[in-house]
Amino acid sequence: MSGLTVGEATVHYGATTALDNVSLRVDGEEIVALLGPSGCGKSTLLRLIAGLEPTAAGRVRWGDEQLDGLAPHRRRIGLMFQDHALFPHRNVAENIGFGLRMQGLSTQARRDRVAELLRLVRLDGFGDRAIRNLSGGEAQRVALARSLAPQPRLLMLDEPFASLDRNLRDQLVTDVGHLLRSEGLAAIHVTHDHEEAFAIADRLVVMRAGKIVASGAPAELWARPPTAWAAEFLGHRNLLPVSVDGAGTTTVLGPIPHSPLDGDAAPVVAIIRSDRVAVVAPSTEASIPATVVSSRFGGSTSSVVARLDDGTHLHLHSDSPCPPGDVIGLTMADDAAVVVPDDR
Amino acid sequence: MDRAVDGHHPRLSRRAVPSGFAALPLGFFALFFAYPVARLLWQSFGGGDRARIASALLGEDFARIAWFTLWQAVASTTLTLLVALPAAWLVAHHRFPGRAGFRALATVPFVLPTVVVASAFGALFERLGVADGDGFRLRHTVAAVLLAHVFFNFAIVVRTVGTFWSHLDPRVEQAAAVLGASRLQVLWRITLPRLAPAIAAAAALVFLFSFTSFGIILILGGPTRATIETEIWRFATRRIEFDVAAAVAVVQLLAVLALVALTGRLQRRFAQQQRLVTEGRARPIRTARQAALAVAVIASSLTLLLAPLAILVERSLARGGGYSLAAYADLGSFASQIGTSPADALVNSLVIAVTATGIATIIGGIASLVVVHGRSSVSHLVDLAMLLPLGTSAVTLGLGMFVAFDTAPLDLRTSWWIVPLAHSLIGIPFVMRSVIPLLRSVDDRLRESAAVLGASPRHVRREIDLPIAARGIAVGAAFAFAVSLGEFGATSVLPRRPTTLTAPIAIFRLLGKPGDLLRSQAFALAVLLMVLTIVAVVAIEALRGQRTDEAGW
Repeated sequence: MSGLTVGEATVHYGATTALDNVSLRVDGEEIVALLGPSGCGKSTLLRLIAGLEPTAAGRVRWGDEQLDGLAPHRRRIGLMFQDHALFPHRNVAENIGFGLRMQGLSTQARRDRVAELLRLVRLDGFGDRAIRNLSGGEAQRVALARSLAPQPRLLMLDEPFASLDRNLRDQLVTDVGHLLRSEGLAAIHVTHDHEEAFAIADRLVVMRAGKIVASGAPAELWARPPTAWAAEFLGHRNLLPVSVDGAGTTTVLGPIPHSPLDGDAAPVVAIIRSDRVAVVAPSTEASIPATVVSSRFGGSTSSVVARLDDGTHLHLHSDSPCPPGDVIGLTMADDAAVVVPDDR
Repeated sequence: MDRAVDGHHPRLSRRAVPSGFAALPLGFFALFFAYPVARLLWQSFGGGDRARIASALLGEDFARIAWFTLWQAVASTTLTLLVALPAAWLVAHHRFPGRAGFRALATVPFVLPTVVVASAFGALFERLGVADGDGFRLRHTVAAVLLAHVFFNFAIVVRTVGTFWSHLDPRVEQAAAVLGASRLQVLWRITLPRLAPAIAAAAALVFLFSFTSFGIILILGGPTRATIETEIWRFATRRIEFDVAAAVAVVQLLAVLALVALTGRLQRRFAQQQRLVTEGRARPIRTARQAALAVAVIASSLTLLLAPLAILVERSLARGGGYSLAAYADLGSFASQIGTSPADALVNSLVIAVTATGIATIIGGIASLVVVHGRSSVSHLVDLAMLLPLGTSAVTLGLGMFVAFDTAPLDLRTSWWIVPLAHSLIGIPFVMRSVIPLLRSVDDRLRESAAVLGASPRHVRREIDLPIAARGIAVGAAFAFAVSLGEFGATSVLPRRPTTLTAPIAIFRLLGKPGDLLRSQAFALAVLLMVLTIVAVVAIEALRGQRTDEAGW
């Protein structure tokens, strides 16, 4: 059974603990997005897997092969850095061919594979370019091609798109996703942007302060985030206080059906999923009345902030533009509200 | 299953160069610098003739000489700053056609042999008629010395201050202007204080070089204008009183150490966090006022830099009433004044320079590797040790080696090797200053990228560190070559044999004898030496390539 297993890994930097007893599995062709705020230990986990970081405790294996103690250059695990770390003294083709040369490939075989990779990242004819003459997006693709060249069994990407502008980023996220799947690679993609993670990954792993706090398929995690902090990090913006009594769990929007937590003393909070609330005409039956506070036109859908009668603000999406001051109605699907422990 | 943090696979970037690597540079330093200096100390205060030393050091003459040494250094430093700061402003602020050439030209005097500089000013005064008919005797004025020092040190100020200035964030000045400060107020209250660390560093270097200046004082200052440095030479080579020479050298060493300590303290006081920009702030010239200032600065700098060199060439060609290449043609014939032909002296210089460059590059390269990648204690030790020769006067270095290597198995007095060894000692700091910044510029992530792409640690060094540092090694080698080619102070106190008679020594001797023919031969030899040095400088500038804007010295 191939795939990466990290078992109970701990890393200290002096007195601080960068990774605290982290366990992670990545299957043979799985793409995992590792999500978390800066400083949460994402990069440390990658460095640990690559063999660039000594561990205080823990195991790293690929299938049955023990990787602990194996030098980075023997692990067949690729790592792409945020700032690309392209070799400034070599041109594009030499950068891409570096790993192949380390494998001892013949000049001809190397040239063929480099040409193939340049085509793959859509940079045909860039082979002779100097690194300093590349744009951000081009450098990004060269770095990707360089990482793919030696055919690693696992490719790790450390915030590869962080320094790029929005448009380029959206395009590259799609491209990279296709590329990883077509090459049949396992991948770990580190990011702090939940939209990027949703777009690229089979599974999300959320980290906080050196620990893994959530893990699951993107849609599943979005629908049922395990905690309030994870929900906010995944992009949920409507976290409402709840009252719990014998009758059940209630927010200002009304009772929440089948809420799993009852009788628990820990503080809880209700998440209202913006994708499960519809903005409708105020006259609609059983709708909750609200007033538009602000609205941002976004083309096919608009982002709307609406105020309920009691002053609660909700962030929602509307198919039609609603100018501030408009009175609207809100209807909620049964599963729009999720109750989670408040760990913020 | 706990594992020690530094146990099985330490972080690549922290993998140190084995400390054994340090043995070669440290051994070289101990044998050729520390031991000779220790012998000098012993010679002066242990085994010397105390009465003779006391009378030499405590006399009125020595006080006068020390005073002159000090005030001419202060005057040279002040004048250099006044002349070179406008040029530093220009290269920092404006792009103009020929800017790269201007920078390269400004560098030339610094690496020109002092003997060539002295010859050039001698030629200049001769042409201007300041000199009398009897040759060099009347060129011995303080003004000549100061002017030559300004010429020689111009580059230090332009490059250190100019480079720093070009990276100061201009928005600080703009903010002051918006708040109502006039141009003059901005310059006085904002810009100069911000530049203070760079100006102080440049001034300290200029002072040090002027304080220990040798060839210029000896040739342009003449016998009545001795400095501490020329006194060491005079006691060693003219009066053959090595104990007194050693004592004077020790006094000078102490003075230099005090100066270094003082400037270190001053620099720490001036040190400040500055807003820097990575892009240079140089902009094209736009207004007529800027153009006028630029033209004035360029014209005056070029006059200072080019006039002496041009006149040197002109004088080397002058023969009788007209011009000819006769002086160059004569270089091949035996000259009794130097005991060989000037052409042979030039060949000697080249052979010695190539040898010294080889030694300096190998030792300096290894030392740089230890400084950047070694364990920190060893790294600091090597860094400090290898820089010390730069702060020691050349005559002292030469005298130390002469005094130290007098007995078997280290009797190098009669060996040809003593000259290239002394030269390489002076060249090593230049190699290190060129290689270390490039080695440091190799990001850890480049090494880590190479490692995850399958490069073993050995491959990482060969594929990443070495190629990136190669340009620095080439620049350092070119510096070491130029330094050896022009070396005069140390060579002048080392024993002379036909094969160690270098071109600078030949020029000095030819200039010292009366006669127009000998003088034009000296000028011709100086021109050839100058051309060779300029070739080295051009190579340095070309190798630095796109980095000229970021690289300091």
